[in-house]
Amino acid sequence: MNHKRVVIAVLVMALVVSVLIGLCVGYRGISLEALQSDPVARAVLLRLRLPRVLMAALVGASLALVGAALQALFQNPLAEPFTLGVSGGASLGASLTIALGLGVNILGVPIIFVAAFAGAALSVLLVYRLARSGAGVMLPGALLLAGVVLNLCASACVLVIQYIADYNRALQILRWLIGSLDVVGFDLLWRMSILLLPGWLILGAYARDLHLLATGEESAASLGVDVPKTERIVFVASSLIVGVTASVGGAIGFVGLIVPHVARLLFGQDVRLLLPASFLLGATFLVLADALARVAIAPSELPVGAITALLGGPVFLLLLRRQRRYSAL
Amino acid sequence: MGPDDLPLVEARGLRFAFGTTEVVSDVSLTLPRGAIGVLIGANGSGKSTLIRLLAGLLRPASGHILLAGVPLASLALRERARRIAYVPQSMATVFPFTAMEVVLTGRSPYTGRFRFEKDEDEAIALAALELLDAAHLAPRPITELSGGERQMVTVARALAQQPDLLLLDEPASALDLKHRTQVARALRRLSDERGVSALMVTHDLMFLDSLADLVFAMKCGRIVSMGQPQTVLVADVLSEVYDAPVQTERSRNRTFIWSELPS
Repeated sequence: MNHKRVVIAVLVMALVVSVLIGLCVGYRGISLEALQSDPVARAVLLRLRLPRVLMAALVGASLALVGAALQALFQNPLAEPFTLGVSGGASLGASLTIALGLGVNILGVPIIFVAAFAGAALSVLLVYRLARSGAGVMLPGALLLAGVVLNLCASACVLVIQYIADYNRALQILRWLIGSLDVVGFDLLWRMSILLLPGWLILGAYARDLHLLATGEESAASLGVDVPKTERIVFVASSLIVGVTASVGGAIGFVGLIVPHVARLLFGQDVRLLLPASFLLGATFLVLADALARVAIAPSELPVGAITALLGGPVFLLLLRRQRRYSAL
Repeated sequence: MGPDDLPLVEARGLRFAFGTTEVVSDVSLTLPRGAIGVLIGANGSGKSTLIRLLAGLLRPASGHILLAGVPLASLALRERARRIAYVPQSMATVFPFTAMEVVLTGRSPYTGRFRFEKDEDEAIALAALELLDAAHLAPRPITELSGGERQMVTVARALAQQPDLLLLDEPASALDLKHRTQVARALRRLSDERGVSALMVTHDLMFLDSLADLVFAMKCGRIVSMGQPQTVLVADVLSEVYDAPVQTERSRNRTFIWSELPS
Protein backbone atom coordinates (compact mmCIF):
# COMPACT_ATOMS: atom_id res chain seq x y z
CA MET A 1 0.00 0.00 0.00
CA ASN A 2 1.08 3.53 -0.72
CA HIS A 3 1.04 4.83 2.80
CA LYS A 4 3.59 2.17 3.81
CA ARG A 5 5.96 3.13 1.01
CA VAL A 6 5.77 6.77 2.10
CA VAL A 7 6.59 5.83 5.69
CA ILE A 8 9.65 3.84 4.62
CA ALA A 9 10.83 6.59 2.24
CA VAL A 10 10.53 9.26 4.94
CA LEU A 11 12.44 7.06 7.38
CA VAL A 12 15.22 6.44 4.87
CA MET A 13 15.56 10.19 4.38
CA ALA A 14 15.64 10.74 8.15
CA LEU A 15 18.43 8.18 8.39
CA VAL A 16 20.43 9.90 5.65
CA VAL A 17 20.05 13.26 7.40
CA SER A 18 21.10 11.80 10.74
CA VAL A 19 24.18 10.22 9.17
CA LEU A 20 25.15 13.62 7.73
CA ILE A 21 24.67 15.21 11.15
CA GLY A 22 26.73 12.44 12.73
CA LEU A 23 29.52 13.09 10.23
CA CYS A 24 29.56 16.83 10.88
CA VAL A 25 29.44 16.69 14.66
CA GLY A 26 32.55 16.07 16.72
CA TYR A 27 35.57 17.38 18.54
CA ARG A 28 36.98 18.71 15.31
CA GLY A 29 34.70 20.67 13.05
CA ILE A 30 35.03 19.58 9.46
CA SER A 31 34.42 22.01 6.61
CA LEU A 32 34.16 21.20 2.93
CA GLU A 33 37.28 23.22 2.08
CA ALA A 34 39.29 21.43 4.75
CA LEU A 35 38.24 18.11 3.21
CA GLN A 36 39.65 19.13 -0.16
CA SER A 37 42.96 20.50 1.13
CA ASP A 38 43.68 18.76 4.41
CA PRO A 39 44.51 15.01 4.37
CA VAL A 40 44.15 14.82 8.17
CA ALA A 41 40.62 16.12 8.01
CA ARG A 42 39.88 13.58 5.30
CA ALA A 43 41.33 10.79 7.39
CA VAL A 44 39.32 11.85 10.44
CA LEU A 45 36.15 11.83 8.38
CA LEU A 46 36.69 8.59 6.48
CA ARG A 47 38.70 6.43 8.88
CA LEU A 48 37.21 7.56 12.19
CA ARG A 49 33.94 9.36 11.89
CA LEU A 50 32.28 7.47 9.05
CA PRO A 51 32.98 4.03 10.55
CA ARG A 52 31.69 5.20 13.89
CA VAL A 53 28.49 6.60 12.43
CA LEU A 54 27.96 3.40 10.46
CA MET A 55 28.59 1.36 13.59
CA ALA A 56 25.96 3.38 15.46
CA ALA A 57 23.54 2.79 12.57
CA LEU A 58 24.22 -0.98 12.50
CA VAL A 59 23.84 -1.38 16.25
CA GLY A 60 20.81 0.90 16.55
CA ALA A 61 18.99 -0.76 13.65
CA SER A 62 19.77 -4.23 15.01
CA LEU A 63 18.64 -3.58 18.57
CA ALA A 64 15.43 -1.84 17.51
CA LEU A 65 14.59 -4.62 15.05
CA VAL A 66 15.12 -7.29 17.69
CA GLY A 67 13.09 -5.26 20.17
CA ALA A 68 10.16 -5.02 17.78
CA ALA A 69 10.38 -8.74 16.99
CA LEU A 70 10.57 -9.83 20.64
CA GLN A 71 7.67 -7.57 21.59
CA ALA A 72 5.50 -9.26 19.00
CA LEU A 73 6.74 -12.75 19.83
CA PHE A 74 6.14 -12.37 23.57
CA GLN A 75 3.07 -10.13 23.10
CA ASN A 76 4.62 -7.77 25.57
CA PRO A 77 5.34 -4.09 24.81
CA LEU A 78 8.05 -4.06 27.48
CA ALA A 79 10.09 -6.86 25.94
CA GLU A 80 13.46 -5.98 24.43
CA PRO A 81 16.97 -7.46 24.55
CA PHE A 82 17.84 -5.44 27.64
CA THR A 83 14.73 -6.02 29.77
CA LEU A 84 14.61 -9.72 28.90
CA GLY A 85 18.17 -10.24 30.10
CA VAL A 86 19.36 -11.19 26.63
CA SER A 87 21.92 -8.39 26.60
CA GLY A 88 22.97 -9.46 30.10
CA GLY A 89 23.59 -12.98 28.90
CA ALA A 90 25.58 -11.67 25.95
CA SER A 91 27.64 -9.50 28.32
CA LEU A 92 28.41 -12.50 30.49
CA GLY A 93 29.55 -14.53 27.50
CA ALA A 94 31.72 -11.70 26.25
CA SER A 95 33.21 -10.92 29.70
CA LEU A 96 34.16 -14.54 30.08
CA THR A 97 36.08 -14.42 26.80
CA ILE A 98 37.91 -11.25 27.81
CA ALA A 99 38.78 -12.64 31.25
CA LEU A 100 40.15 -15.80 29.69
CA GLY A 101 42.33 -13.58 27.56
CA LEU A 102 40.68 -14.43 24.29
CA GLY A 103 40.76 -10.70 23.72
CA VAL A 104 38.76 -8.13 21.85
CA ASN A 105 41.35 -7.62 19.15
CA ILE A 106 40.42 -8.24 15.55
CA LEU A 107 41.55 -11.84 15.60
CA GLY A 108 39.63 -12.47 18.81
CA VAL A 109 36.43 -10.91 17.55
CA PRO A 110 34.81 -14.06 16.25
CA ILE A 111 35.35 -15.81 19.59
CA ILE A 112 33.72 -13.03 21.52
CA PHE A 113 30.87 -13.04 18.99
CA VAL A 114 30.32 -16.73 19.56
CA ALA A 115 30.46 -16.40 23.36
CA ALA A 116 28.06 -13.45 23.36
CA PHE A 117 25.72 -15.28 21.01
CA ALA A 118 25.75 -18.33 23.28
CA GLY A 119 25.08 -16.12 26.31
CA ALA A 120 22.22 -14.36 24.55
CA ALA A 121 20.68 -17.60 23.29
CA LEU A 122 20.87 -19.17 26.72
CA SER A 123 19.13 -16.20 28.37
CA VAL A 124 16.33 -16.02 25.86
CA LEU A 125 15.65 -19.74 26.33
CA LEU A 126 15.72 -19.45 30.11
CA VAL A 127 13.43 -16.43 30.17
CA TYR A 128 11.03 -18.17 27.83
CA ARG A 129 10.92 -21.33 29.94
CA LEU A 130 10.47 -19.38 33.16
CA ALA A 131 7.67 -17.24 31.77
CA ARG A 132 5.51 -20.18 30.69
CA SER A 133 2.90 -21.36 33.11
CA GLY A 134 1.87 -25.02 33.23
CA ALA A 135 -0.94 -24.53 30.72
CA GLY A 136 1.50 -23.06 28.22
CA VAL A 137 0.31 -19.49 28.69
CA MET A 138 2.85 -16.70 28.57
CA LEU A 139 2.65 -14.57 31.69
CA PRO A 140 3.74 -10.99 30.95
CA GLY A 141 4.72 -10.27 34.55
CA ALA A 142 6.73 -13.46 34.87
CA LEU A 143 8.49 -12.69 31.61
CA LEU A 144 9.86 -9.36 32.80
CA LEU A 145 10.59 -10.71 36.26
CA ALA A 146 12.61 -13.52 34.75
CA GLY A 147 14.44 -10.97 32.61
CA VAL A 148 15.28 -8.82 35.62
CA VAL A 149 16.51 -11.79 37.65
CA LEU A 150 18.57 -13.02 34.73
CA ASN A 151 20.12 -9.59 34.28
CA LEU A 152 21.01 -9.47 37.97
CA CYS A 153 22.56 -12.93 37.89
CA ALA A 154 24.50 -12.14 34.74
CA SER A 155 25.86 -8.87 36.11
CA ALA A 156 26.75 -10.60 39.39
CA CYS A 157 28.72 -13.19 37.42
CA VAL A 158 30.40 -10.41 35.43
CA LEU A 159 31.38 -8.72 38.72
CA VAL A 160 32.89 -11.94 40.03
CA ILE A 161 34.76 -12.43 36.77
CA GLN A 162 36.03 -8.85 36.91
CA TYR A 163 37.08 -9.33 40.52
CA ILE A 164 39.15 -12.44 39.90
CA ALA A 165 40.49 -11.37 36.51
CA ASP A 166 43.80 -9.52 36.46
CA TYR A 167 43.79 -5.76 36.52
CA ASN A 168 44.22 -5.14 32.81
CA ARG A 169 41.52 -7.52 31.78
CA ALA A 170 39.17 -6.24 34.47
CA LEU A 171 39.61 -2.78 33.04
CA GLN A 172 38.99 -4.12 29.56
CA ILE A 173 35.75 -5.73 30.72
CA LEU A 174 34.65 -2.53 32.39
CA ARG A 175 35.31 -0.47 29.28
CA TRP A 176 33.54 -3.03 27.20
CA LEU A 177 30.51 -3.08 29.52
CA ILE A 178 30.16 0.67 29.28
CA GLY A 179 30.06 0.13 25.58
CA SER A 180 31.45 2.23 22.81
CA LEU A 181 30.78 2.61 19.16
CA ASP A 182 34.34 3.77 18.56
CA VAL A 183 35.88 1.90 15.69
CA VAL A 184 38.77 2.56 13.32
CA GLY A 185 38.40 1.54 9.70
CA PHE A 186 35.86 -0.76 8.14
CA ASP A 187 37.20 -4.21 8.90
CA LEU A 188 35.10 -4.82 12.00
CA LEU A 189 32.02 -3.37 10.28
CA TRP A 190 32.34 -5.92 7.50
CA ARG A 191 32.74 -8.79 9.92
CA MET A 192 29.66 -7.67 11.83
CA SER A 193 27.55 -7.17 8.73
CA ILE A 194 28.24 -10.68 7.51
CA LEU A 195 26.76 -12.04 10.74
CA LEU A 196 24.02 -9.45 11.17
CA LEU A 197 22.61 -9.60 7.67
CA PRO A 198 21.25 -13.16 7.93
CA GLY A 199 19.69 -12.28 11.28
CA TRP A 200 17.95 -9.25 9.81
CA LEU A 201 16.71 -11.14 6.78
CA ILE A 202 15.34 -13.98 8.88
CA LEU A 203 13.40 -11.62 11.14
CA GLY A 204 12.11 -9.80 8.05
CA ALA A 205 10.97 -13.06 6.53
CA TYR A 206 9.02 -13.89 9.69
CA ALA A 207 7.33 -10.48 9.88
CA ARG A 208 3.97 -11.96 8.91
CA ASP A 209 4.14 -14.70 11.52
CA LEU A 210 5.19 -12.16 14.16
CA HIS A 211 2.30 -9.92 13.14
CA LEU A 212 -0.14 -12.77 13.72
CA LEU A 213 1.57 -13.76 16.97
CA ALA A 214 1.17 -10.21 18.25
CA THR A 215 -2.61 -10.71 18.08
CA GLY A 216 -2.32 -13.79 20.33
CA GLU A 217 -0.61 -17.13 20.24
CA GLU A 218 -3.69 -19.29 19.80
CA SER A 219 -5.04 -16.96 17.13
CA ALA A 220 -1.75 -17.17 15.26
CA ALA A 221 -1.73 -20.97 15.48
CA SER A 222 -5.28 -21.16 14.14
CA LEU A 223 -4.30 -18.84 11.28
CA GLY A 224 -1.61 -21.20 10.09
CA VAL A 225 1.49 -20.03 11.98
CA ASP A 226 3.85 -22.77 13.09
CA VAL A 227 4.30 -21.21 16.53
CA PRO A 228 7.10 -23.41 17.94
CA LYS A 229 9.11 -23.11 14.73
CA THR A 230 8.66 -19.34 14.60
CA GLU A 231 9.73 -19.08 18.23
CA ARG A 232 12.87 -21.13 17.62
CA ILE A 233 13.87 -19.18 14.55
CA VAL A 234 13.22 -15.77 16.07
CA PHE A 235 15.16 -16.81 19.19
CA VAL A 236 18.19 -17.84 17.17
CA ALA A 237 18.12 -14.78 14.89
CA SER A 238 17.64 -12.40 17.83
CA SER A 239 20.41 -14.02 19.86
CA LEU A 240 22.74 -13.81 16.89
CA ILE A 241 22.00 -10.12 16.40
CA VAL A 242 22.18 -9.22 20.09
CA GLY A 243 25.33 -11.29 20.56
CA VAL A 244 27.14 -9.58 17.70
CA THR A 245 26.03 -6.03 18.55
CA ALA A 246 26.63 -6.48 22.29
CA SER A 247 30.09 -7.92 21.77
CA VAL A 248 31.05 -4.78 19.87
CA GLY A 249 28.94 -1.97 21.30
CA GLY A 250 28.49 -3.28 24.83
CA ALA A 251 25.09 -3.55 26.45
CA ILE A 252 23.29 -0.53 25.06
CA GLY A 253 19.91 -0.56 26.72
CA PHE A 254 16.43 0.58 25.83
CA VAL A 255 17.02 1.24 22.11
CA GLY A 256 14.99 -1.90 21.48
CA LEU A 257 12.26 -0.52 23.71
CA ILE A 258 11.91 3.15 22.82
CA VAL A 259 12.29 2.86 19.08
CA PRO A 260 9.60 0.23 18.38
CA HIS A 261 7.29 2.10 20.72
CA VAL A 262 7.80 5.38 18.90
CA ALA A 263 7.23 3.50 15.65
CA ARG A 264 3.96 2.15 17.07
CA LEU A 265 2.81 5.62 18.02
CA LEU A 266 3.68 6.96 14.58
CA PHE A 267 2.66 4.13 12.29
CA GLY A 268 0.25 1.85 14.16
CA GLN A 269 0.48 -1.78 15.20
CA ASP A 270 1.10 -3.69 11.98
CA VAL A 271 4.26 -5.67 12.75
CA ARG A 272 5.02 -6.08 9.03
CA LEU A 273 5.49 -2.31 8.91
CA LEU A 274 6.91 -1.99 12.42
CA LEU A 275 9.91 -4.21 11.73
CA PRO A 276 11.40 -2.19 8.84
CA ALA A 277 10.28 1.08 10.46
CA SER A 278 11.97 0.19 13.76
CA PHE A 279 15.07 -0.91 11.87
CA LEU A 280 15.43 2.46 10.12
CA LEU A 281 14.32 4.51 13.10
CA GLY A 282 16.72 2.61 15.38
CA ALA A 283 19.65 3.41 13.11
CA THR A 284 18.63 7.08 13.04
CA PHE A 285 18.13 7.18 16.79
CA LEU A 286 21.50 5.69 17.75
CA VAL A 287 23.40 7.81 15.20
CA LEU A 288 21.89 10.92 16.78
CA ALA A 289 22.36 9.64 20.35
CA ASP A 290 26.00 8.96 19.55
CA ALA A 291 26.43 12.42 18.04
CA LEU A 292 24.97 13.83 21.26
CA ALA A 293 27.31 11.65 23.31
CA ARG A 294 30.28 13.11 21.45
CA VAL A 295 29.35 16.78 21.91
CA ALA A 296 27.48 16.87 25.22
CA ILE A 297 30.59 17.25 27.40
CA ALA A 298 33.19 17.93 24.67
CA PRO A 299 36.13 17.56 24.49
CA SER A 300 35.37 14.46 26.57
CA GLU A 301 32.53 12.16 25.55
CA LEU A 302 29.68 10.33 27.29
CA PRO A 303 29.04 6.61 26.87
CA VAL A 304 26.18 6.30 24.40
CA GLY A 305 24.59 3.66 26.64
CA ALA A 306 24.14 6.34 29.29
CA ILE A 307 22.22 8.52 26.86
CA THR A 308 19.93 5.73 25.66
CA ALA A 309 19.30 4.67 29.26
CA LEU A 310 18.52 8.23 30.35
CA LEU A 311 15.97 8.49 27.55
CA GLY A 312 14.76 4.90 27.83
CA GLY A 313 14.18 4.66 31.58
CA PRO A 314 11.31 7.18 31.64
CA VAL A 315 9.76 5.64 28.51
CA PHE A 316 9.84 2.23 30.17
CA LEU A 317 8.08 3.55 33.28
CA LEU A 318 5.48 5.28 31.14
CA LEU A 319 4.78 2.06 29.26
CA LEU A 320 4.57 0.13 32.50
CA ARG A 321 1.82 2.46 33.66
CA ARG A 322 -0.06 2.04 30.42
CA GLN A 323 0.27 -1.72 30.46
CA ARG A 324 -1.25 -1.79 33.93
CA ARG A 325 -4.20 0.15 32.64
CA TYR A 326 -4.68 -2.33 29.81
CA SER A 327 -4.47 -5.42 31.97
CA ALA A 328 -6.96 -3.92 34.42
CA LEU A 329 -9.59 -4.10 31.67
CA MET B 1 -18.16 -41.84 -2.79
CA GLY B 2 -16.75 -38.41 -3.69
CA PRO B 3 -15.32 -36.06 -1.12
CA ASP B 4 -18.59 -34.13 -1.07
CA ASP B 5 -20.49 -37.12 0.23
CA LEU B 6 -18.10 -37.64 3.12
CA PRO B 7 -18.95 -35.97 6.42
CA LEU B 8 -16.96 -32.77 6.87
CA VAL B 9 -15.67 -33.81 10.27
CA GLU B 10 -15.25 -37.34 11.44
CA ALA B 11 -13.48 -37.96 14.73
CA ARG B 12 -12.88 -41.42 16.13
CA GLY B 13 -11.69 -42.43 19.56
CA LEU B 14 -10.12 -39.11 20.55
CA ARG B 15 -8.22 -39.02 23.81
CA PHE B 16 -6.32 -36.15 25.34
CA ALA B 17 -4.76 -35.59 28.73
CA PHE B 18 -3.18 -32.60 30.45
CA GLY B 19 -0.46 -34.33 32.43
CA THR B 20 -2.15 -37.35 33.99
CA THR B 21 -5.68 -35.94 33.94
CA GLU B 22 -7.58 -37.22 30.96
CA VAL B 23 -9.92 -34.45 29.78
CA VAL B 24 -11.15 -36.05 26.57
CA SER B 25 -11.85 -39.77 26.78
CA ASP B 26 -12.71 -41.78 23.74
CA VAL B 27 -14.77 -39.18 21.92
CA SER B 28 -16.19 -39.91 18.48
CA LEU B 29 -18.36 -37.55 16.54
CA THR B 30 -19.50 -36.87 13.01
CA LEU B 31 -20.55 -33.52 11.61
CA PRO B 32 -22.13 -33.53 8.15
CA ARG B 33 -21.28 -30.80 5.66
CA GLY B 34 -23.38 -27.69 6.26
CA ALA B 35 -24.58 -28.84 9.66
CA ILE B 36 -24.44 -26.71 12.79
CA GLY B 37 -23.48 -28.67 15.87
CA VAL B 38 -23.60 -27.41 19.41
CA LEU B 39 -21.50 -28.78 22.21
CA ILE B 40 -22.97 -28.48 25.70
CA GLY B 41 -21.74 -29.66 29.08
CA ALA B 42 -20.71 -28.57 32.54
CA ASN B 43 -17.57 -26.53 33.17
CA GLY B 44 -14.48 -28.67 32.85
CA SER B 45 -16.25 -31.40 30.90
CA GLY B 46 -13.70 -31.16 28.08
CA LYS B 47 -15.63 -29.08 25.54
CA SER B 48 -12.92 -26.52 24.90
CA THR B 49 -10.26 -29.18 24.66
CA LEU B 50 -12.35 -31.12 22.16
CA ILE B 51 -12.82 -27.98 20.06
CA ARG B 52 -9.09 -27.31 20.11
CA LEU B 53 -8.35 -30.89 19.13
CA LEU B 54 -10.69 -30.53 16.16
CA ALA B 55 -9.03 -27.19 15.27
CA GLY B 56 -5.67 -28.93 15.23
CA LEU B 57 -4.34 -26.70 18.02
CA LEU B 58 -3.83 -29.73 20.24
CA ARG B 59 -2.76 -33.17 19.13
CA PRO B 60 -4.85 -36.10 20.36
CA ALA B 61 -2.93 -38.73 22.35
CA SER B 62 -4.84 -41.30 20.34
CA GLY B 63 -7.67 -41.42 17.84
CA HIS B 64 -7.93 -39.62 14.55
CA ILE B 65 -9.72 -36.71 12.93
CA LEU B 66 -10.71 -36.65 9.28
CA LEU B 67 -11.63 -33.44 7.48
CA ALA B 68 -13.67 -34.41 4.41
CA GLY B 69 -11.91 -37.75 4.50
CA VAL B 70 -8.38 -36.35 4.84
CA PRO B 71 -6.45 -36.73 8.10
CA LEU B 72 -6.33 -33.32 9.79
CA ALA B 73 -2.72 -33.83 10.85
CA SER B 74 -1.64 -34.26 7.23
CA LEU B 75 -2.89 -30.83 6.16
CA ALA B 76 -0.35 -28.02 5.80
CA LEU B 77 -0.95 -25.37 8.46
CA ARG B 78 -1.97 -22.68 5.99
CA GLU B 79 -4.26 -25.06 4.13
CA ARG B 80 -5.84 -25.98 7.46
CA ALA B 81 -6.30 -22.27 8.24
CA ARG B 82 -8.19 -21.82 4.97
CA ARG B 83 -10.60 -24.60 5.87
CA ILE B 84 -11.00 -24.33 9.63
CA ALA B 85 -11.50 -21.12 11.59
CA TYR B 86 -11.30 -21.14 15.35
CA VAL B 87 -12.87 -18.59 17.67
CA PRO B 88 -11.25 -18.67 21.13
CA GLN B 89 -13.16 -18.04 24.33
CA SER B 90 -11.52 -14.69 24.77
CA MET B 91 -8.98 -12.76 22.85
CA ALA B 92 -6.49 -10.89 24.97
CA THR B 93 -4.20 -8.65 22.96
CA VAL B 94 -1.92 -6.17 24.63
CA PHE B 95 -1.36 -4.19 21.46
CA PRO B 96 -4.06 -1.74 20.38
CA PHE B 97 -4.66 -3.23 16.92
CA THR B 98 -7.74 -1.78 15.30
CA ALA B 99 -10.69 -4.15 14.98
CA MET B 100 -10.22 -4.00 11.21
CA GLU B 101 -6.58 -5.09 11.51
CA VAL B 102 -7.65 -8.04 13.63
CA VAL B 103 -10.36 -9.08 11.18
CA LEU B 104 -7.87 -8.71 8.34
CA THR B 105 -5.57 -11.28 9.99
CA GLY B 106 -8.30 -13.72 8.99
CA ARG B 107 -7.15 -13.16 5.41
CA SER B 108 -3.53 -14.10 6.14
CA PRO B 109 -3.96 -17.77 5.09
CA TYR B 110 -4.60 -16.35 1.60
CA THR B 111 -1.88 -13.68 1.64
CA GLY B 112 1.73 -14.24 0.60
CA ARG B 113 4.58 -14.05 3.11
CA PHE B 114 5.83 -10.69 1.88
CA ARG B 115 2.48 -9.15 0.97
CA PHE B 116 -0.11 -6.99 2.61
CA GLU B 117 -3.81 -7.65 2.20
CA LYS B 118 -5.40 -6.36 -0.99
CA ASP B 119 -8.49 -4.16 -1.32
CA GLU B 120 -10.43 -7.32 -2.00
CA ASP B 121 -9.39 -8.68 1.40
CA GLU B 122 -10.48 -5.47 3.06
CA ALA B 123 -13.86 -5.79 1.37
CA ILE B 124 -14.21 -9.35 2.69
CA ALA B 125 -13.22 -8.25 6.19
CA LEU B 126 -15.70 -5.39 6.13
CA ALA B 127 -18.45 -7.70 4.86
CA ALA B 128 -17.73 -10.06 7.76
CA LEU B 129 -18.11 -7.21 10.25
CA GLU B 130 -21.28 -6.03 8.49
CA LEU B 131 -22.81 -9.50 8.66
CA LEU B 132 -22.54 -9.21 12.44
CA ASP B 133 -23.71 -5.59 12.39
CA ALA B 134 -20.32 -4.59 13.81
CA ALA B 135 -18.86 -2.49 10.99
CA HIS B 136 -18.84 0.56 13.26
CA LEU B 137 -16.13 -1.14 15.35
CA ALA B 138 -13.67 -1.30 12.44
CA PRO B 139 -11.48 1.71 13.29
CA ARG B 140 -11.56 1.22 17.08
CA PRO B 141 -8.58 -0.18 19.00
CA ILE B 142 -9.35 -3.69 20.17
CA THR B 143 -7.96 -2.89 23.63
CA GLU B 144 -10.72 -0.33 24.14
CA LEU B 145 -13.58 -2.59 23.15
CA SER B 146 -15.84 -4.33 25.66
CA GLY B 147 -15.61 -8.10 26.06
CA GLY B 148 -18.72 -8.58 23.93
CA GLU B 149 -17.49 -6.28 21.17
CA ARG B 150 -14.20 -8.14 21.12
CA GLN B 151 -16.07 -11.41 20.69
CA MET B 152 -17.86 -9.94 17.68
CA VAL B 153 -14.50 -8.98 16.18
CA THR B 154 -13.12 -12.47 16.76
CA VAL B 155 -16.14 -14.05 15.12
CA ALA B 156 -15.78 -11.63 12.21
CA ARG B 157 -12.15 -12.65 11.81
CA ALA B 158 -13.22 -16.28 11.62
CA LEU B 159 -15.83 -15.40 8.97
CA ALA B 160 -13.18 -13.50 6.98
CA GLN B 161 -11.19 -16.73 6.84
CA GLN B 162 -13.99 -18.12 4.63
CA PRO B 163 -13.60 -21.61 6.09
CA ASP B 164 -15.57 -24.79 5.52
CA LEU B 165 -15.72 -25.34 9.24
CA LEU B 166 -16.15 -22.84 12.07
CA LEU B 167 -15.16 -23.96 15.54
CA LEU B 168 -16.41 -21.56 18.16
CA ASP B 169 -15.62 -21.73 21.86
CA GLU B 170 -18.38 -19.83 23.66
CA PRO B 171 -18.41 -17.07 21.07
CA ALA B 172 -21.43 -15.40 22.59
CA SER B 173 -20.76 -15.67 26.32
CA ALA B 174 -20.36 -11.91 26.74
CA LEU B 175 -22.89 -10.84 24.13
CA ASP B 176 -26.26 -9.29 24.78
CA LEU B 177 -29.42 -10.80 23.39
CA LYS B 178 -29.37 -8.77 20.19
CA HIS B 179 -25.82 -9.73 19.33
CA ARG B 180 -26.31 -13.36 20.28
CA THR B 181 -29.16 -13.43 17.82
CA GLN B 182 -26.91 -11.81 15.26
CA VAL B 183 -24.15 -14.39 15.66
CA ALA B 184 -26.66 -17.24 15.58
CA ARG B 185 -28.28 -15.79 12.47
CA ALA B 186 -24.93 -15.31 10.75
CA LEU B 187 -24.03 -18.95 11.40
CA ARG B 188 -27.40 -20.16 10.14
CA ARG B 189 -27.06 -18.07 7.00
CA LEU B 190 -23.54 -19.28 6.23
CA SER B 191 -24.65 -22.84 6.71
CA ASP B 192 -27.79 -22.49 4.55
CA GLU B 193 -26.26 -20.38 1.77
CA ARG B 194 -22.68 -21.58 1.57
CA GLY B 195 -22.73 -24.99 3.20
CA VAL B 196 -20.39 -23.92 5.98
CA SER B 197 -20.41 -26.21 9.01
CA ALA B 198 -19.99 -25.05 12.57
CA LEU B 199 -19.43 -26.59 15.94
CA MET B 200 -20.05 -24.26 18.83
CA VAL B 201 -19.52 -24.60 22.55
CA THR B 202 -22.19 -22.84 24.55
CA HIS B 203 -23.89 -22.67 27.93
CA ASP B 204 -26.74 -20.80 26.33
CA LEU B 205 -29.51 -23.32 25.66
CA MET B 206 -31.92 -20.70 24.38
CA PHE B 207 -31.17 -20.81 20.67
CA LEU B 208 -30.51 -24.48 20.28
CA ASP B 209 -33.87 -25.45 18.76
CA SER B 210 -33.68 -22.89 16.02
CA LEU B 211 -29.92 -22.90 15.52
CA ALA B 212 -28.60 -26.41 15.98
CA ASP B 213 -28.93 -29.37 13.66
CA LEU B 214 -27.12 -31.54 16.17
CA VAL B 215 -26.44 -31.27 19.87
CA PHE B 216 -23.57 -33.06 21.58
CA ALA B 217 -23.66 -33.25 25.37
CA MET B 218 -20.39 -33.87 27.16
CA LYS B 219 -19.72 -35.04 30.67
CA CYS B 220 -16.32 -35.85 32.17
CA GLY B 221 -14.58 -35.95 28.81
CA ARG B 222 -17.16 -38.16 27.10
CA ILE B 223 -20.06 -37.47 24.82
CA VAL B 224 -23.00 -38.85 26.75
CA SER B 225 -25.74 -37.91 24.37
CA MET B 226 -25.99 -36.68 20.83
CA GLY B 227 -28.71 -36.08 18.28
CA GLN B 228 -31.29 -33.57 17.22
CA PRO B 229 -32.05 -30.84 19.76
CA GLN B 230 -35.36 -32.31 20.88
CA THR B 231 -33.76 -35.68 21.67
CA VAL B 232 -30.87 -34.27 23.73
CA LEU B 233 -32.66 -31.38 25.38
CA VAL B 234 -34.70 -33.53 27.74
CA ALA B 235 -34.77 -33.31 31.51
CA ASP B 236 -33.02 -36.64 32.15
CA VAL B 237 -30.06 -35.92 29.89
CA LEU B 238 -29.60 -32.29 30.97
CA SER B 239 -29.90 -33.14 34.67
CA GLU B 240 -27.19 -35.73 34.26
CA VAL B 241 -24.95 -33.51 32.12
CA TYR B 242 -25.10 -30.52 34.42
CA ASP B 243 -25.51 -32.54 37.61
CA ALA B 244 -28.34 -30.23 38.61
CA PRO B 245 -32.11 -30.51 38.65
CA VAL B 246 -33.23 -29.36 35.19
CA GLN B 247 -36.79 -29.26 33.93
CA THR B 248 -37.89 -29.09 30.32
CA GLU B 249 -41.14 -28.64 28.54
CA ARG B 250 -41.96 -28.83 24.84
CA SER B 251 -44.31 -26.20 23.58
CA ARG B 252 -44.84 -24.54 20.22
CA ASN B 253 -42.11 -26.80 18.79
CA ARG B 254 -39.55 -25.36 21.19
CA THR B 255 -37.96 -26.81 24.29
CA PHE B 256 -38.17 -24.62 27.38
CA ILE B 257 -35.52 -25.29 29.95
CA TRP B 258 -35.32 -24.11 33.53
CA SER B 259 -33.87 -25.17 36.81
CA GLU B 260 -35.49 -25.15 40.25
CA LEU B 261 -33.47 -24.54 43.36
CA PRO B 262 -33.90 -27.55 45.67
CA SER B 263 -36.10 -26.41 48.55
